[in-house]
Amino acid sequence: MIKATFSSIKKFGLFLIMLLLLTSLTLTGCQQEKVLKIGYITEQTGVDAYVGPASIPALKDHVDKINAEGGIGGYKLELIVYDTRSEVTDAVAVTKRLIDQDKVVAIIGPSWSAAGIPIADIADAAKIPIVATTASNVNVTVSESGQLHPYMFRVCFIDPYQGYAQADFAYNKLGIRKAALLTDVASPYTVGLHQFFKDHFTELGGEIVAEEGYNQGDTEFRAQLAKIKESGAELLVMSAYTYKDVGLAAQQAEALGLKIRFMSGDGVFVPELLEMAGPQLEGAIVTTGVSENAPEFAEFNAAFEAKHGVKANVYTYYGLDALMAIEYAIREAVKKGEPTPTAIRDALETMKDVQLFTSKVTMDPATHNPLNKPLLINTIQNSQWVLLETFQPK
Amino acid sequence: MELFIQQLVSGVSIGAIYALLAVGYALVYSVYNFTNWAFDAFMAFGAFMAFVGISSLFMPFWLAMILSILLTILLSVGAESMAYRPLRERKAPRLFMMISAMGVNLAVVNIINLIFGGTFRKFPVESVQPIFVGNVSIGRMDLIAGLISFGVLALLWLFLYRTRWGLGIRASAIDIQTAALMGINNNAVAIIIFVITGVLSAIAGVFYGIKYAVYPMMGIVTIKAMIASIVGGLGSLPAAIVGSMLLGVLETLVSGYISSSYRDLFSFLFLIVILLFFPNGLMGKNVDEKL
Amino acid sequence: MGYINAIIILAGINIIAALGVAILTGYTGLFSIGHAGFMALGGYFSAILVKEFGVHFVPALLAGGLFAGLTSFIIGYPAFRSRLRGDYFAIATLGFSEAIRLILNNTREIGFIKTGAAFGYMNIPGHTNLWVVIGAVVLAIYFAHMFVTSQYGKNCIAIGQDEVAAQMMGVDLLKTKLLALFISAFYAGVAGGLLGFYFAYLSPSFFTITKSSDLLAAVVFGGIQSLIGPVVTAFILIAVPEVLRALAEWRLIIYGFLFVVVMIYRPQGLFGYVEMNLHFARAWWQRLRRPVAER
Repeated sequence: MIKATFSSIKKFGLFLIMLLLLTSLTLTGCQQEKVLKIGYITEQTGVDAYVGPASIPALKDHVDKINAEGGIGGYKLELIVYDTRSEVTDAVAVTKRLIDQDKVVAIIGPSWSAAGIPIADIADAAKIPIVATTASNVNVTVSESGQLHPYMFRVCFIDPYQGYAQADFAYNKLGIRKAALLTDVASPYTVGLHQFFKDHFTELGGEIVAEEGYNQGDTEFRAQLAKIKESGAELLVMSAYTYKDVGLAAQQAEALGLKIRFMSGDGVFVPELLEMAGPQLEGAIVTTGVSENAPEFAEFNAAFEAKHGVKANVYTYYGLDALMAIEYAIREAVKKGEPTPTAIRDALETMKDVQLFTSKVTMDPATHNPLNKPLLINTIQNSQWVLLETFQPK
Repeated sequence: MELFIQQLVSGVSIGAIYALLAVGYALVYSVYNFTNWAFDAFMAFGAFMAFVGISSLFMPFWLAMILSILLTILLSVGAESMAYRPLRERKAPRLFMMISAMGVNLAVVNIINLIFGGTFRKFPVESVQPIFVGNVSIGRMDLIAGLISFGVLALLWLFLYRTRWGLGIRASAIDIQTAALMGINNNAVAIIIFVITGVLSAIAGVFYGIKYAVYPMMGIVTIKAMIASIVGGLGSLPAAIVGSMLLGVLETLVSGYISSSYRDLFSFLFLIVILLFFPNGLMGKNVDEKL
Repeated sequence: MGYINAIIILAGINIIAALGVAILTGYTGLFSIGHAGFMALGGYFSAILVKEFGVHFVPALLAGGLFAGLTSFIIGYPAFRSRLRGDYFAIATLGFSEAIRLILNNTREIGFIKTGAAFGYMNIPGHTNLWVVIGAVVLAIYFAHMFVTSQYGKNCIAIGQDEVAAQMMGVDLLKTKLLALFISAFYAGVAGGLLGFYFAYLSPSFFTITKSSDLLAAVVFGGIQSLIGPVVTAFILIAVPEVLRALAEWRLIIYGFLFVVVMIYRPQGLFGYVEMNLHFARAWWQRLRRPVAER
């Protein structure tokens, strides 16, 4: 009886493998012009389903533009986009699919660190460079034991840097001495930022008077906010991964009569936050690597929204940054010979003062993090983002 | 003390939202012994329809509310007749009904996601200032939502206990086969139940949307309502309300006095402990005293 | 062929976990939506054994399964003693699995072991490869088959059919249910361990309600009281979304509709109530091959 099972499983497995092979054959059918494929793994469904729609059209437009200008050194680019369902397992599977089936030369994504960490190993093993967009955990490019992932890069700054700068700004510029933390304990991004904020803030002499937590997907924060109100904190640090959390917390703080300044990180820097809780967040501080209000993006934003009916946000910009970094690396590789994944990787590693979409970027060869990324300190005035100042690392 | 009262007030207002949802579960469960896993999709659908009514069709709130209720009824009855009834008629195990409901849920939530995108929207109504009693704030919206929930639940009670149709539903809840033999049309009962489910989920969705935000995954909260209705005692309406209030208050008190990051752990522990010592829920009785 | 390897490995891990659910839900009739919790327990336990204590990964996998199985008594003993059934038991398992995820999310370290809370447990040695998974799946199917055809398995089926009648026939309800839960959690635990050794990384975010309900769906699609059914559907549920990935946003919608359609037109599941045998598979294939008009 067992034998029978195996034979039917085998048949079925064969059938499926055939199906897979067929799809892969049709997908990789021979092409006449030379094409370089670039993968983009992003979130079109699941909890982070707002990341994909704001970035995919921008990336496609940019690829079209390059191709319209004749491509790079005779190569046309092709962007292949896959959905991760906002799940790590899917992110891993699609990365392998891009590498093995689509034979991409480089991959853009993912946008969150929990997927970035296992994907870094895949990049190394397959020797295909991956440029993460907003995965800001230290261990995405450098493993826990301190080893560099040679094929993993990113275009955003890392959590320690942002947390450090936030604490510095709060203590020295805002004169805050008592701060409260409201942490999404299920999000490595938030936990990391808050940890580094706390370390530097207490080092400077400040005091963390309340440390509250919640879990991803929660919508109810009044119990925590009521406690923060009692604690006498002057600043509420809530660098949530999704803007929904900060928007809801601000609304609920108002409902509780809690007047407190919010401070948050780049995860919530999207126009939707203002629609959700603009008046309640008046005066809030949000640190980012890039601002949509910068005059140089105004034209892009208007054109993007008119063309695609979606507002551009940080994921659009970081997606473009990653794509342009890869574009630069391909150009460099073509200059030197063939644009192989390894050549692209080498060019990425030695990037120096390259103008990307948001800023000039120099890649740190030791960590694969961008160097000298400016940190923008934004505030909200009359439900609009206003740039307060630019924080340059020493 | 003020903090404690504030936490209690918040807890009750959270409980009120759970109650609206939990009653929907209890109603379906009492008759079909089946947990309607598609409830969260109905809720998100209701919220989105009202949202579209106001923001795209420029309807006044009450009209959008009616539109949302009507469309959600359509969805709910549609799901019943297409996804549940064939299984019921075939007397398929409950497990299959649940999977079918999960399928409806997955499809509807993702269609909403496809059409509207995954962003979190603020419900387009003016936010109102809360009432302050001393330093304790009571949300006006919470009060209104509480009153409407209470009104709807009272109407539901009147319907179930003071009308012939209600009698039919209660009879079906006790024994659906016998009720059918006594001349009660099972399909009519099913339609009435799912009309009520549609109304409840649309109202719950709209108020949840106003209180928090409108987004495709907003239905995740229904898991709490499910827990509440089990803590109370599955299939009983008053028990669902009591369970919801208890859970709402417990959650805020745990967040306030023990640990906010372990809040849900306590909710689940509470559930397990209740189940261990009161296997039928706090107010759960035997089959013959359902509803 | 790394991509197809990945699919087969992920599907294989899914199959092992689904076999666990099949024993509990498909045979014993106990509805679980908390198996992701057992996967997490087994995964973390075996990963810790290998990474921190240098245990060979095969005994570590078994130990992870054993740990998940023993932990299942925490919920199983009180729940079965008070005769929780149906949705009650389902929600209790869900609560248990969510509680485990919450604890993992809040635990930075256990003594000197840095489990990393939400950051995830990193640098787990990567032992899982295609052959390990295929071997594990073969053994898992073999032992599951041995179990369900043994006297214990028959007791489980009896409970699944009619608990009262089973008890009157002298089946010890508590012991039999606990045994079914133990084996079921053991399978999930081993699957969790394989997952950790494959990704070289474990994060509490892997083990959500979605994971549990996928496993349950595999069993119900595949068929009640069948092992071959869940094996096939657990494979399809991993592979079909992969094939359909080109459809992006439409994928989950189609998945949802399929749930309903399969339940209505083949409510017993693909292989419901059919034990593994060649006749059935043959009949099924022949029916598929026949022209539509003749069906």
